[in-house]
Amino acid sequence: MAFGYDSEIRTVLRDHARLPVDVETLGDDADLFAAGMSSHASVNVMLALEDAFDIEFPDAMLKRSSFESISAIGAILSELRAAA
Amino acid sequence: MHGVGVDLVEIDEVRDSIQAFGERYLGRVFTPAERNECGASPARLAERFAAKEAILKALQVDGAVPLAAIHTHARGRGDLTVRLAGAAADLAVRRGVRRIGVSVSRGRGHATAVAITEPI
Repeated sequence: MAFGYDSEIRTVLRDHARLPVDVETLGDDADLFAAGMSSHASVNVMLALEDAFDIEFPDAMLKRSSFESISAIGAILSELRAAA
Repeated sequence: MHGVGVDLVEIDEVRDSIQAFGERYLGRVFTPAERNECGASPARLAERFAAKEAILKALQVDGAVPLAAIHTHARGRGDLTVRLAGAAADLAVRRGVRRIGVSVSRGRGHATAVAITEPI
């Protein structure tokens, strides 16, 4: 479950994660790093999510687990938007 | 026990990130001193990015550590000195690390780094 942000997250991943597979073939809980997203690409994903959702990731959320799956990203976005 | 980390970065990815996100990308990843040392060179910045990721792996990172909390400084040919701040410094203390050695290199299209931690 991606907290209703599934489509937007997948668009960001398609444009910035440099995945070697079609993001539509990945389940919400699939490990994005195992699917081929590099650490460097995850920085781009973070910045693109900030643009797309008009948020800023605080330092405390800058960890691998925050970006390891569509579900994890959805949970973080939900938390940040609720706090906004 | 020594910790070891290695990382490989595609230089074009760094170039693309600078074009796409500009100052936001540079400011979130690199310190002002690193940017001053590397200038606008995507290859040099890719070396520094690889160094930071290699250091995080050597420290067996298990939480949130901003990349800009890892400060690298060019010491010699392919050799960097490392200073840690904030969450990165806290992690090193938890891991019992006294010093970190880093070596970087680059070839056609990629930059790579190896980091080794020295225990207290």
